[in-house]
Amino acid sequence: MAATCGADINKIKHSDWKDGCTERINRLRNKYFGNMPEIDTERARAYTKIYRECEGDEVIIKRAKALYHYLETKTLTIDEDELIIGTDGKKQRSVVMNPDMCYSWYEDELDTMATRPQDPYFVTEEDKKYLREEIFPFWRGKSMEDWFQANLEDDLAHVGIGTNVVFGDLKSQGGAGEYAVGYGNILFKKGFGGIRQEAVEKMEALDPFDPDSFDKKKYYEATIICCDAVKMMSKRYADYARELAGTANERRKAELLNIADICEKVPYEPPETFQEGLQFVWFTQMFMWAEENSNSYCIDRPDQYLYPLYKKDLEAGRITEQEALELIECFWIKIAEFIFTISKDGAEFYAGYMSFTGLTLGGCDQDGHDAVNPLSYMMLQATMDLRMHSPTINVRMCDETPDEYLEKVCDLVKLGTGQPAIFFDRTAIELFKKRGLPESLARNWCVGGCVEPNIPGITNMWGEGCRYSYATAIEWALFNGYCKVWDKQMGLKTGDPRDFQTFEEFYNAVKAQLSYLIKLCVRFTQLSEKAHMKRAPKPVRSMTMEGCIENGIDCSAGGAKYNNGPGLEPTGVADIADSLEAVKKLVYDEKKITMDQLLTALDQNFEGYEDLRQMLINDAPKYGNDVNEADRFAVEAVGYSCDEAMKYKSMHGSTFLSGLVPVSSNLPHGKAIWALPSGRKATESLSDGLSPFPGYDKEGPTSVIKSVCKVDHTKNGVGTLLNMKLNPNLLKTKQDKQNFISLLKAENELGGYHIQFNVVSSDTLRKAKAAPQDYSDLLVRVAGYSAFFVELAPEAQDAIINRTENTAW
Amino acid sequence: MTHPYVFDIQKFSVHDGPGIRTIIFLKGCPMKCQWCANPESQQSGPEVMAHPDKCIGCGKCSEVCESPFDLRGNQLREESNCKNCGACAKVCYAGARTLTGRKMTVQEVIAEADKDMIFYKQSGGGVTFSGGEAMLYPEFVSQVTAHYKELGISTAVETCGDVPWENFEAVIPNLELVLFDLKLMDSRLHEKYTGRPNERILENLRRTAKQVETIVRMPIIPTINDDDENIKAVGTFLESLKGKVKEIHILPYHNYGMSKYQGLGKAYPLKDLRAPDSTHMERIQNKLRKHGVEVVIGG
Repeated sequence: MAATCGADINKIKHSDWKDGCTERINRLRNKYFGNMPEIDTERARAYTKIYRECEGDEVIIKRAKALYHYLETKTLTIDEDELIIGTDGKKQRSVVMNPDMCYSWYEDELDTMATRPQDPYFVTEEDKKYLREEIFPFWRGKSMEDWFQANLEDDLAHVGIGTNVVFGDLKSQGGAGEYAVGYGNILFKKGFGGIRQEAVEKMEALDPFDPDSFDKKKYYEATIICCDAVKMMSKRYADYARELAGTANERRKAELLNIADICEKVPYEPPETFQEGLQFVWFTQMFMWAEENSNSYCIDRPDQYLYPLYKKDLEAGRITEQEALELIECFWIKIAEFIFTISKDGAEFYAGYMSFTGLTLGGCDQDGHDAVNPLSYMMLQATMDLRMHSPTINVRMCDETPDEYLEKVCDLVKLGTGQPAIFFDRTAIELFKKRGLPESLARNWCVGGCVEPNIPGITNMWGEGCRYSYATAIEWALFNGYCKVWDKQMGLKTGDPRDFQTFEEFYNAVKAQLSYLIKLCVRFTQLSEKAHMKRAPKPVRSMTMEGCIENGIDCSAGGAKYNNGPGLEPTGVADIADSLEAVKKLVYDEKKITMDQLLTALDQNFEGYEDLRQMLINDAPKYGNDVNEADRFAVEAVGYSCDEAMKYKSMHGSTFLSGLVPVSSNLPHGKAIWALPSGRKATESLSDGLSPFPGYDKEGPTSVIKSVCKVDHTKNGVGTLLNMKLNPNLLKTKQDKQNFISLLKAENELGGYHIQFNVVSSDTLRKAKAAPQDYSDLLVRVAGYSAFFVELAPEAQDAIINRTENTAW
Repeated sequence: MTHPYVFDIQKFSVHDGPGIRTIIFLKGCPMKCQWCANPESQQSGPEVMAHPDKCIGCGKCSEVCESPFDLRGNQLREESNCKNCGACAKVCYAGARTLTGRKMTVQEVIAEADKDMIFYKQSGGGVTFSGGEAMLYPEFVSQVTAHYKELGISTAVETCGDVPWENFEAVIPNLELVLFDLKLMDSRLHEKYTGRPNERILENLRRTAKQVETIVRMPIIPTINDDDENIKAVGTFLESLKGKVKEIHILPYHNYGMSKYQGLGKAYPLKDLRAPDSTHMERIQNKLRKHGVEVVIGG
């Protein structure tokens, strides 16, 4: 079967974790690793059938009926060890296809997906044949991507399709993503039965003479079909659990009968016990993914909305802490099973089977006080016990977050799994207030994506509308809009920089190119929004946020109460800051080199000009060292791109936002970008997000944090990301822990938004790269998420090794 | 006032006093320990250092050098000819030749160290002077430390102790902590391996410990100072201070400084010596503990 970057995944042995885990969890965890992701065509078959039969129906009705049919026909799997049941697709780690959204890359990659270097998917010959004969031909011209491609204008395609310069079609191939489901504020209160009831009432109250009532009626009808679908699905699981109970041993029989009772109830009715709560969330996630396979369907703040249920169970003597922990761990494994289905190119961004199904812990409550509770600790413990890449754990830190909790956070960081990411409430709440949201709502914020701030069930946002890199603006300004890697004109003609008399002229050219890039990205994103509106309405997602049911409008058509963004996501802050500072200081201020010399050296990718490259690197200050000269340009570039993005409106009238959320896009972007005045060579990886360029930060973590916090994070509506690599020796003693906590507190005070750590020595990483079989469980932070190191492609491995390691501690 | 040459300012240091600290390394040292990990700290003036791994072979250094040499092919500097003028370092963009040591004013040092103020406040950290021997510049050190003491920020000095007592008297009032090095109890051997006898050092340590919190730091150099006799003598000495020194940090010898010797064109005296393993360190730790002091490995 598939090989992953030199190591055969089947030969990788995953050792048991004995500490903390029960035997059940160890078995489930081992089974997880034994399940190779495999293409699952059941949804494709169901959708194709219904679209074929109901061609005359409105799109939203067709989709609701197709969803119903899929949930009615999908194969059910319950593992003998599971306490939380249900699989996305027919079994654990299924790779569910959505040809209704996009089939093109499956068609192109069908024979190579099992052997691709990053995140391979197994596919049977039988499925291949069926896809080629039945599925692909049917969807030709009908998919969401087809609509997008048919309406894409040439000037956009020229820069942003298949170029790695701009990634313009990210949202044309799959689910909408980047969203925090409203479990606390809506679903746990109403259940889908309650929502169905509201939809029925609203539909009955429609004025048939209102010209909007037709669309609204269809929307409500679709909502009702979907609510019925989820009730039917959970009932099927209940029946199946009962059936299995018939042949199970006594212990398992009791478990299965209990599971069956739970499935009879949730998620149609609100949960009343802790286990019901977890099963509710899992069924809802499956429900949403059945509508569309999507990254970043985040599960709100589970320590908050589950705590009342846990407390009640505990007080009634229905559960022990150990049992609750095991349930959480069962649930965590479920989340890890979900596969966000992506193409070969997509896998470069989301390397490591990453779905970004995240959750947020801690932070402050409605009144602004510390919200940490026993579940906040247990959920960190579950993550420590499992050491898996998913779910993505995000911890909110407010001024009152107790040191004791931060010590627990430190314990998890110390494991070196890259978990958790740490976020600062002060900045996040301020960020929402600036967008006009009331503080009381903002206090309930959580991460809805990689780092994207959302208010669960309140804000509807696409974080990742379109991607570009700041470095492109530098390259285009230097080469008059010419892209050297693709050897064609792409940007604006801002003039030959040899004619620029002052640095300001050069800087203005960079800004002009940046503005142009942003305009292209805005148009791409608007087109993607339109494609979703036309071809992929989302009645299920719409139920989980405020506004859609009230307004009778699907979220893809702007029904949410608060439409936020969409977001544009540039990367390479350090690349632009270091390049601008090098040009300013060495070409214009000190005149050590001429623009002509610089251009010649860049043109040659520094071949034969190593001395000049070294001058660019060592004689101009670099971003990330707490030196204002270089940091200034980071502040200005980020501020400028935020202001530019915010000039534009989405299809729903909300303002575009910007954020520094690179995922691993700094690698593919880098491949399309020529040599830079920062000293970076052509096609090498760019810097990620807000992090300094690897190796250029010489002063250690305090200086990095100082530099990073000079940027106005509250302006970045889509969030910002800072990766920091620490040597494991830095987290050994109690004093080390205290220093770690101090670092976090200082960043909170300085106005930072996010920080995440890789605590693995580069020596270990090098060894793991050489001998993957010995390091199968080594988790590392990639960008906004963790992945198993040995499952990453070699380039991604190198990028992580190269990230500066702080050893001074 | 003598303005020292600063050869490094290291942020985010967590092993030289409490909390997150900035260490200011000053050049010039009365001793010349054979195991010294910072040989560039010994002379008080600036020195050219070669970093052959960074050399890109452009040859600019040889073009500007008054006492010509050939550096192509990563050759090291020749100590005898070099006047430490630094002309080569100025044209070496790759950083393969650097001029170690920069004259800094009190204000300049404070401006740099102030950058991490928020981290000192959050962690109870602060500023530590090290070297070379920072106590050779009592006026300079006391001006900087007075500034931080006034702000309530922790101040510390790491010292070899081999300076006139007046220097200590001038600085101690501004210090929260002294990290005092102790190497060998036998003065004759001390002189053999460090170039200086130890009577004044021990006397300064005795007095310092009475006036300010003092942590003794002892590098463990196999075959030189790790024998039972010396360890016992150190323990007895600490005991004689009657509880004034509560803690001793024993630091395992390492040879990370070896390449610096090459870079300075100096011979490394201990090139065949191996680092002590953790069992050996623990054995020494246990022996010292018997004398009623807290013993920390590393520091």
